[in-house]
Amino acid sequence: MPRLISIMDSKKRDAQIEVDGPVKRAGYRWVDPTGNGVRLQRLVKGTEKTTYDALVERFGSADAVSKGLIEGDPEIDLEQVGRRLAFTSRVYLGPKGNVLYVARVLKVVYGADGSEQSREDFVDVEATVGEELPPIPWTGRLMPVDQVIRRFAFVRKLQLRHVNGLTFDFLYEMAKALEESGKLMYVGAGNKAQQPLIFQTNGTPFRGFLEGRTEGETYRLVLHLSNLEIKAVTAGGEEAEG
Amino acid sequence: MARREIVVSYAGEESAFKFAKVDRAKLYGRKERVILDENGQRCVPAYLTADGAALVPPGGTAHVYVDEAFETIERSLLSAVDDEGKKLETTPSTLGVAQALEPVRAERLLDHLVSSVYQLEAETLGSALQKALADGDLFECRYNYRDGYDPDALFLLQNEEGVFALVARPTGFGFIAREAPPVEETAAGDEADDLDDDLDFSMM
Repeated sequence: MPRLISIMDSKKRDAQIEVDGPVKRAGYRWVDPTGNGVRLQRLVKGTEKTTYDALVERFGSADAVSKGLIEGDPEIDLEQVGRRLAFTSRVYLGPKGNVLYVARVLKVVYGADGSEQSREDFVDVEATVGEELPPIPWTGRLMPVDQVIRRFAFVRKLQLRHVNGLTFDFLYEMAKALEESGKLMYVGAGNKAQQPLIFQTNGTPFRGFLEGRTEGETYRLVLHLSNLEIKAVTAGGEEAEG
Repeated sequence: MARREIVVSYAGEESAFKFAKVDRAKLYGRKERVILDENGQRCVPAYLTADGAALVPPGGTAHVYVDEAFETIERSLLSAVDDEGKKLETTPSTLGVAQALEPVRAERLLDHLVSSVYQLEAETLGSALQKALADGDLFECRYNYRDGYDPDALFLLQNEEGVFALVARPTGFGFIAREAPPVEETAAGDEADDLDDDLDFSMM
């Protein structure tokens, strides 16, 4: 879904333009043996009355729960199990399965070794990029492509698109300038581009690199976003699923 | 047991790598949002149904495939088809099977979106590939972690930290003309916004 952001060019002119994500894969869909389409449906499997803690509370002990499971089906909420789950509200449950009306929200920080480093009250982190926010400045900080691709993994990408004739010229000129440099331009938020790019409240903070190409009277201006450096983390070669 | 290594071939030599995923938690640590009740006890998120009749705690949901009549269809009975209804053949996992490497330009990687980064440890490394990586060459081959229908691209590169593989897929970004049509709006809720990431409190 496209959205508007503000961006500045090398002449310090800013404009609102559209950004859009990568094209979705053509992909595939599932069909049943007769060739008819199927859909994935989320169902209720258990409720707050059928959790292990709730059963222990109900029966009095773990042994009594075992006996109860042999003699009946206390782990199945017959009124609810198999029900389609849609249009739900998010709530928080306390240790006894009670709905929470008053909550304290903490931010807990863990180190790379998994140990807890700190905990403090959670404070929202506001977006730094958006339609009504200051434009992403033109930094002029150019970096060689070969160097950047070896240092950062680009896990998000946005294509910048014009919204009218004026912004076509604006973006085309930016793409042309970057293409002629043969490099990527580092971009960040804030007057000095020192803040990370955050596109929504509490969203992922990214570093950004702008890349431009042109072909005749067309352009391609892409914002490459990274929150992961390409660095070694372990001495071994433990396999991990991708 | 089949080999679970990334195996590539280049200049007539095979190279094999053990691999480990590189992620943010391993590099920088992580941040977590924790909800506490009035007694300082940790709480868990749950779903409340629209009629208020059920509270569904974590682990309280299941997913099944159903047809139009809401009959459950076993996963093993399903087939994958393309947009035109043509049945697709499974592409086997590439792990343990040598994939031909092709040298590519850096722009080729920029045209892809990275989904995973692997740190590689060579079990065997061909001399030609070793030299090319040290010289700064970039390579691409096909990658499928498990049997599937839609293989990814795998880019192989070396930096001062070691040899890495980047699993990626094409962005599909094209060149835009002055009279380009506006991007089509997707139906609400149909597809996730590309920037509508769930709450993330990770560090820079």
